[in-house]
Amino acid sequence: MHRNNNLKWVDQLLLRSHILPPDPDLWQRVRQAISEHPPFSLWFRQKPPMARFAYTVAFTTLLFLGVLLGKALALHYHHLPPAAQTVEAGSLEAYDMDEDNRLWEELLWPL
Amino acid sequence: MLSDEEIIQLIQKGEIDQFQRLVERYNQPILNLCFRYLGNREDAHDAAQDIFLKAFQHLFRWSPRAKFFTWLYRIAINHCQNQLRYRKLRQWFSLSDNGPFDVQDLPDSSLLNQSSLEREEEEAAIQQTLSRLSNKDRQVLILFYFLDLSYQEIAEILAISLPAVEARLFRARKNFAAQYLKLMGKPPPSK
Repeated sequence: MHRNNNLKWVDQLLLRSHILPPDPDLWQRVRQAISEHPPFSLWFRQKPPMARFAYTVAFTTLLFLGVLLGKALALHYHHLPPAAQTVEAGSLEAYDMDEDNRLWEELLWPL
Repeated sequence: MLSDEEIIQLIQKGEIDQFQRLVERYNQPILNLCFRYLGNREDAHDAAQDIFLKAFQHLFRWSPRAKFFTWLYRIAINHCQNQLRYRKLRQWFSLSDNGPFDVQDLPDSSLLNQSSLEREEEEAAIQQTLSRLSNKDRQVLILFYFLDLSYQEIAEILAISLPAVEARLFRARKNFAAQYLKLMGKPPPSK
């Protein structure tokens, strides 16, 4: 411990300071909080194998659809002429419907 | 007796009730750390519960690169610092001027004799002084004096070198003394 006689009283004061006793109900409250807010890994681990499989399939499907939608939006907006991206009257004349259809077909080929 | 790391391995295998051992092992130090940071028992009890819950939720991703207790104390310090920030924000919005120390934590003075009254006043002064210190000073004092940790352990928790711990502790004691004297006007009687 750092010894400096001028500050020795700080050591004495802090070392004789009050220490709280342990909280006897802490574990019960923590246990209840855990059951109310289980971590995802524990929640998943406690599911039966079929449920885990179903959740995995559902998650993968949603992820696939999300990626597909993202790609569709990106392609769609990327290929539109700048004027068509705003909703101004008359500006859609420059929009190439055939090109857009071709892109959609290209995008949706797996379906 | 099982080590912290062995208990965690059991928990990671699904024996979640083993977490009770860790809660009981670190119940008192975490509670005292929270009490010294937050200044009242009720907030300290709530914070201790939140800290153990947070630790449990991240335990499945814990790897034994660091010791469990350094990781747990780190969570506790961060949690308490965040609580103090929220408290400051709430006080700013509510325009109230309640300090971090709650006088309701003191026992009824009519039930106390002279010496225990002095002790409680001293406790209140310690708590107020701690709340006026910078975060760096406060954390090193709490870890050293109230949790009774070694320099080495403090260095691991705060991720600093041993000489840095020594320097920080020396500066913290000096600042504590200055703030205490400003508050009380004189050093406490030695006992």
